[in-house]
Amino acid sequence: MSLKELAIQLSGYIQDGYSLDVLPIQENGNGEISVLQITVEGFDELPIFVTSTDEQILCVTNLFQKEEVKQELLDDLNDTLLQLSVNVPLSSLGKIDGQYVLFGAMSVNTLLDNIAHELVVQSENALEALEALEEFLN
Amino acid sequence: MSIFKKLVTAIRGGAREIGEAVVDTNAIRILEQEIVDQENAIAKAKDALTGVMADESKTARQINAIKDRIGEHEGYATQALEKGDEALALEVAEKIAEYENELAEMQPVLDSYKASVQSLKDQIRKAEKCIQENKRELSVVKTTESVQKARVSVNSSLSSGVSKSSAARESLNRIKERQQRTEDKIKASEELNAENTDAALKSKLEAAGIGKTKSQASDILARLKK
Repeated sequence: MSLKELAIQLSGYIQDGYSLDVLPIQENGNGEISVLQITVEGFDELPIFVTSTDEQILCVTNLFQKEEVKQELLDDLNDTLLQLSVNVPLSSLGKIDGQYVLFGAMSVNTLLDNIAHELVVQSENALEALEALEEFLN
Repeated sequence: MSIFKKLVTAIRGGAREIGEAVVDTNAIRILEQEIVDQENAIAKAKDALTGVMADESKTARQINAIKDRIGEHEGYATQALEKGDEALALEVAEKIAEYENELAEMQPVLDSYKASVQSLKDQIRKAEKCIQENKRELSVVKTTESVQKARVSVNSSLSSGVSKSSAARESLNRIKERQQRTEDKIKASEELNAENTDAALKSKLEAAGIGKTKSQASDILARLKK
């Protein structure tokens, strides 16, 4: 499913009692959508950025920047995240440059219902991860 | 160098833009072209393979037919010898020799067909492995590109006035506050509902003259008159 198609279908979609809001982002000037910013109702501060390749859909939520971490706890945090990542359902924890993220990847052939479900779960996971990791942050 | 190795090198080297180290449009095009080339090669090899396999089985059938005829004529020769007809037996033996020569010519042909079937199958398998490898590399590159795209838009959306050093904490607090408000609202409306039902019941009881009834002026007058 192309991002455009996904944007049309997911906009206003109600999943697990939450409604989804979709903002397509056109990165280059040629009108092609390269990223979708999806917000699950109530999780406005934790938008999910969705990109896709021929094979997979990638959903990324930003948690915090490296600068937001108490520097003396950085190693401890990294270790905790590596161990935690295995236990988080449907999402993994990772880092893009200096940005700590929660992400999930799924096949482009995933059913819309399942995509929506994963997005809701990802928002909930992101919030819970932030709550759980709060003590590591400034 | 494998894509994974490139990625690790870029990360360890502290590359600011990890994607750029790996995502090279030229490299992607080359990988895609290689995949197409190999798929074409496979298609050609498969065409050739079916042709050679047909030839192989045709030759094998011919060889079997000749072997049958040799066996048959060996029987004739034995019978001629039993009847003491040396001349006839010799004639048959000449025929057998002819067949055997034919067989000796065909056997190498069959062997060469077998060898080319094997070699074509090996080629196809090799190309398939290569395609698989290239596709996997391509998908790592494309995923990296995808991550890069997500990151770029992330950065532009982040610069919306929130101070970088405490953005996550602020987000967390705002979401929690909002959840608390929603919860409060739900609670309030539940309480309101409960009160409404209470009030409704009370007025019904009153109407039925049960419970605390309102003082009526007429009742007061009646009491005073006593």
